[in-house]
Amino acid sequence: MTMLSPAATYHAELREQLGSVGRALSVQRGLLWLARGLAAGTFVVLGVVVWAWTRDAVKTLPIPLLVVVPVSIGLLTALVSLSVRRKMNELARHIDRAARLQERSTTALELGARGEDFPLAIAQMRDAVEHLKRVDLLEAFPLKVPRNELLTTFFVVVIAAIVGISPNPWLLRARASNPSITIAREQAQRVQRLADSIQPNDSAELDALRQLLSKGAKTVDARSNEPDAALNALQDLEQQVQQMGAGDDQLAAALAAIASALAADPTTQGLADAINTGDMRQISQAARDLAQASRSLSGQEQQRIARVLRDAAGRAGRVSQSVAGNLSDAASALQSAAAANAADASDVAQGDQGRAGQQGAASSQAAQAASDALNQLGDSASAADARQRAASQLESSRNALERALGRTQSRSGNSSSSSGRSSSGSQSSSPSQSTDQSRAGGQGQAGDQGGDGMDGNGGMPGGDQGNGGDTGQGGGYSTGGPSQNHTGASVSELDAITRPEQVPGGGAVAPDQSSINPYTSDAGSGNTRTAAESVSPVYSSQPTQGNDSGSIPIGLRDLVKDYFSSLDQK
Amino acid sequence: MTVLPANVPPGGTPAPPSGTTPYRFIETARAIETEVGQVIIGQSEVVRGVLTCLLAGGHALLEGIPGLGKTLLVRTIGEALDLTFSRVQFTPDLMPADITGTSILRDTSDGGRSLEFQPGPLFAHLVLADEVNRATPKTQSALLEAMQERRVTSGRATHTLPEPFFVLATQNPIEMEGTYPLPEAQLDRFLFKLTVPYPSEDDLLRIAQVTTGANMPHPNRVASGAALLELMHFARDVPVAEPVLRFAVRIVRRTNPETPDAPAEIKRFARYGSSPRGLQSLVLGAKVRGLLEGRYNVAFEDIRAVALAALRHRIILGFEADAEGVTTDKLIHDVVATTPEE
Repeated sequence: MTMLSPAATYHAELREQLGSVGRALSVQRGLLWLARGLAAGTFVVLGVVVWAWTRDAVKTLPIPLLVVVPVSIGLLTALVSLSVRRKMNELARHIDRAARLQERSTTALELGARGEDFPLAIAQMRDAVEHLKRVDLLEAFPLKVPRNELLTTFFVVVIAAIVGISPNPWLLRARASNPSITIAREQAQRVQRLADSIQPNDSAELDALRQLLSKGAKTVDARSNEPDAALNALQDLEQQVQQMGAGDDQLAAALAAIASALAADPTTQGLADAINTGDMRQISQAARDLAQASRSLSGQEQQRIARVLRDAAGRAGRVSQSVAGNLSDAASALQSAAAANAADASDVAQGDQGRAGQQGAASSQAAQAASDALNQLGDSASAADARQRAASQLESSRNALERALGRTQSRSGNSSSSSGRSSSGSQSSSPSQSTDQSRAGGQGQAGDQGGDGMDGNGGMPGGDQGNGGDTGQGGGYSTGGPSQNHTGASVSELDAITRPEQVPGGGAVAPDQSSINPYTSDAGSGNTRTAAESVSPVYSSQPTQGNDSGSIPIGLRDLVKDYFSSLDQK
Repeated sequence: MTVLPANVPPGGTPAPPSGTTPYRFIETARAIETEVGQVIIGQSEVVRGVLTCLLAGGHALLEGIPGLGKTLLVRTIGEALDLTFSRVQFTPDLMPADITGTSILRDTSDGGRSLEFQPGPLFAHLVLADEVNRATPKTQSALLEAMQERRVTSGRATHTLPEPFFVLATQNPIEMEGTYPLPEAQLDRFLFKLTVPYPSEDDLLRIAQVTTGANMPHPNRVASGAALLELMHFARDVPVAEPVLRFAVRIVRRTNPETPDAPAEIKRFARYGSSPRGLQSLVLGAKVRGLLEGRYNVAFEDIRAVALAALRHRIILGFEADAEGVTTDKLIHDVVATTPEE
C-alpha cells in the first residue's frame, strides 16, 4: 500500500472539496444563465412581435413558438454554462472571495501542486481544508434569484404583449387613407371562411383544396397592408385553384352526356335529375344515394341498372375516361352481383346451402364494389363543386380588390374557365332540359348557354349570375332565346347594360312591337335547386361591390352588408 | 515556498526551528502586544506596526510630533522582549564614532599599549535613534550602514552587531530648521515608516490617568532575543500565493510614474516610485501580518494593510505635489484602491 504524504493527502482532499463546491457553483451558474437566456429570448420575441406589429401580422404569430424561443434560449445558455468547467485555481480564488477564506484555498492549492511539505506549508494546507469544510455553501454562495433577469423577462413580456394587442396607429392611418387594405383583409377572411367550410375528411382532393385556400388566405392577409401584393397573391391562388380544377370541365361534360342515359331508369332518375341541375353538390349526393341504394337491389334491378350504367359509361367514354371507368366498374360490379344473386337463388332452390352462402357473399362483395365505384363518382363531383365555389369566391374577391385599387377589370381571361364550365354544364342538359325548362318557367335554355364571354361571377349588376352549374334554373337573368324575341346577342354585350329600360338586341324596334325586358321580367317559376353555399360567396360579394360602386344608398349600405354577412356565417 | 532575499541575516535563512509553531508565534506576538499596550495607551496601530517590523527583521522609522510616546514605545518593547536597549539622541554634533564606538589606546598587562575597540550604543539589540534627522549626514550614514550591513567597521576591524538587531529611529516632522532630512536612499533602508498619530480623547484621558499616578506600569518580559529570532525565521516561511505576490508586484510597479498603467495621480505628482526593496518590505510585512491574524498564508488584505507603512517613505514626490499638498499616503491609497487583484 502506498502511503500518501501529508501534503499529497491534503492536496487531494482540497481538490475534492473544491470540486464539490465547484459543482454547486455550476448549478447556480446554470440557473443564472437560464434566467439570462430567458431574458435574451424574450428580447428576441419582442423583436419578432414588433416586426409583426409593424406589418399587422401579430395574430399570425404562433403563440407556442413565442414561448418556445425564450425557453429554448434559456435552456441552451444554461447547458452551455454547465458545460463550461472552471479551472481549479480559478475556483479556489472564487471560493476564497465568496467565503472570505483570505486566499487560504489558493495558497494551499499552489503548495499542494508544488508538493511543498515544510511544516508551515502542511499547516497552511490543513488550515485551508478545515476552513473549506466549515464553509456553509448556502451562506457563501446563496441561491440568489436572478431578480434582474427575471424582472427584465417579465417587463419585456409585458411590453411584447402590449405591443401585440395594441393597434398600430400607422397602419390604422394607412388603412383609413387606403380602404383597399381593409378590403384585402375582408377578402382574405372570406377565402379563409370558404376554406374552413370544406370538410377535410371527405377526400384527398378536398383536403388539398382546403389547405391551398387556407394557406392562400393567410398569405393574402399577411400582405393586406400592401394591397397590390395581396392582389397578386389572390391571383396566384386563383390560378392554382383553376389548375386544380383543370379536369372539372371534362367531368361536367361527361356527366351531361350520361344524364339522358341515366334518366331511362327510375332508380337512376335521381342522379339524372341532379346532373340536369348542374349542381355538383347535388350530383355528388345523388351518386352517393345511388351507391347506397345499389346494395339493396334485387338481381333483376341490378342487371337493369348495370345496363343503364354501361350505356352511360359508353356515352361518357367519349368525354371522360375516369367517369366512364367509374360507371363501367359499377356496371360490372352490379352485373356480377346480379349473377351471384341468381346463382345464390339457384343454390338455395337446390338445397346447397354452403354454395348458396358463398354466392351470397360474392353478391355482397360485388354490390359493395358497385357502391364504391359510384361513391368515387360522387367524390369527384363533390371536389369539383368545392373547386367551383372556390374559384367563384376567388374571382369575386379579386374583382373586389381590383375595384378597390381602381384597376380596370380584365376578367375575360380569368372568367373564361368558369364561364366555360358554366356553359358546358348547361349545354349538357340541353337535350332534355329544354323541354323541362320550357315547362317550368318558359325560359329558353339555349339563351342561358350564351356566349363564352359570359361573366359567371359578379360582373352583372343586380343579376343573379349562374355560378358554375346553376345556370338558368330558377331566378336569374335570362339572356333570351328565340321564343323571347331576343336576337341572341352575346352575354358579353349584355354586360354593358346597366339600365333595365334598355332594349336588348341589335335591331330597330317598331313602336307597335312589344318586347320583354329580361331585366324586368319575372323570375322563372322553377324551384331554386342550387345549394345556398355554392352561390353565397357570389351573392355576398354583391353588397361589397354595391357599396364600392355606390349603387347602394349610403343609409342602406350597412344593412345590406350585415344581411349578407349573416348569410356568410350561416 | 517563496524565498525573498530582503534583509536576510548573514548566513542566509535557516530552517524554522522545530519548536516554533504557528500557535506559539501568535501567542508570543500577542503577548508582546499586550505588554506594550499596558504602557502605551492607544497607538495600537503603531504598536502593531513596530511589532510587525521587528518580526520581519527590519528597522522602523517613526515619525510624529514630540511627546507622543515614541521613545517610550521603543523602550517598552525592549523591556518586553528582554533585549539590550540603547538610546542615542541625535544632535548635529554627534559623530559617527559616538554611535558605532571607537578604538582607544590602552595599557596592556605586559606594559605595552594596544588599541581596544569600545563598542558604541549601536551594539545593542534594540537601538532607539531619537530624532535621527538632527544628526549630520555623516553620522546618519554610519547609522544606516550599520542598519544595512549589521556590522560596524572601525579602523581595520569589522565588528558584527548582536542579533537580533533593530533600529527604531524617530524624527520630528516639525522644527525642520537645523535638521538634515534623511536622503531617500537611506530612508529606503527602513522596512516601515510609521506615523504616530495624535491620541484620541479617550486615549489622552487614559494617559492622564495611568501616567500621572504613583505606580507606573512596567511590562513583563515575555520573549527573549533568541525566541524573537526564531519567530523572525518562522515568519519568512509563510507561503504566499502567486496571485497575491502579483498583486504586491502590481502595487509597487504602479507607484512608479513611468509605468504605463500607473494611476494619473502618480504620473502627475510622483517623481520616483518604490524600489524593489519596497516590494520586499511589502511582502515581508504582509507575511508577519498574516501570521498575526491567525493565518498561515498571505492574503490580499495583508498586502493592503502594510502598503502604507512599507511604501510611504519610498515614493518621492515632485514639486507639484508639494504645491498642492498631496501626500504619499494619498497616492498609495489611490494605487492600492485601483490595483486589481487579478
